[in-house]
Amino acid sequence: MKKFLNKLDIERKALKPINSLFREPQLCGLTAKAIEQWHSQHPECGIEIYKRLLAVSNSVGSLSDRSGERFDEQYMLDSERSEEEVRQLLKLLASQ
Amino acid sequence: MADIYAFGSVVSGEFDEGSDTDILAIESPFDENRYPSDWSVYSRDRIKELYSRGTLFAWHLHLEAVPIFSSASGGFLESIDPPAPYSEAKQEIQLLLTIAKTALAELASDTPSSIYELGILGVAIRDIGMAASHILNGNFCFSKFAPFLLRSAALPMNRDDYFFLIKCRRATTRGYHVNYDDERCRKIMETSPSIFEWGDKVLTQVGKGER
Repeated sequence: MKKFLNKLDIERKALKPINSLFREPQLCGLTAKAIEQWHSQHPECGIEIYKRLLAVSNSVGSLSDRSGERFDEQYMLDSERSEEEVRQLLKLLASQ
Repeated sequence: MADIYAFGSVVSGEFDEGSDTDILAIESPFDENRYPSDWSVYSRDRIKELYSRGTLFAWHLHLEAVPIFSSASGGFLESIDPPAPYSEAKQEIQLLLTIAKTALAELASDTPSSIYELGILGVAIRDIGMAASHILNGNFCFSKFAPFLLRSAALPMNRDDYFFLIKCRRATTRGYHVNYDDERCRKIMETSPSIFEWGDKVLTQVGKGER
């Protein structure tokens, strides 16, 4: 259960800045499905942002999906990768 | 060697248009990469450990998992002893109440991730119901409506609002569309004192081992 708390912390850290910028309720958990729907409605945002969102989605999603043995050192490395993906996305958004 | 089981709503018959299919793979030697990413993959040793601790998940599998495939004769779950008695209900409910309070605090602070937080609130409430069921009802209940089925402490919440919370969780984890509106969110937040009174009542009864 404590690992579940850790998972929530990681997800909140990734989702807050992105949801704060996009203000799009349906993006909420950043699933690939939600991002694709969002992109089809907002093509003006460009392919780079779309790709970056998917990259964040992949890294956060892979953390969220884990269970049992999947919480390990690799999990912590992937957590760091996830944070880096968010930083890259925010940097891209700031440059536009 | 691998054993594959189905569990959850596809087995209990409680599925709806937004349900997923819960599949468990138990493998030895362990190689999680052989399986779809949305499957739960465990080694035999890990399953034995969960059974020896008597976790809620172990009881869920013991009572509900249905074998689909086994590479050996006879399934692994059928070959091991039943789980130890579930003794972590009180601690887990305390933690789930903390999780629910954190989600509500985030919502109160006007978080940009409101659907995410509503979903967390729903999962915490659901899991409190599941964790308390064996003490308050005398048998485990793994239904998503477990909080409403606690005989002496049914959740005092509108079922539509509760199911909205579950849909928010599905939107977060599976990308399903949810009809979100601020008014509904506000309404749920206004009921939060009664949710916590309920949580404290469940916790007290579980602590006393009452029925």
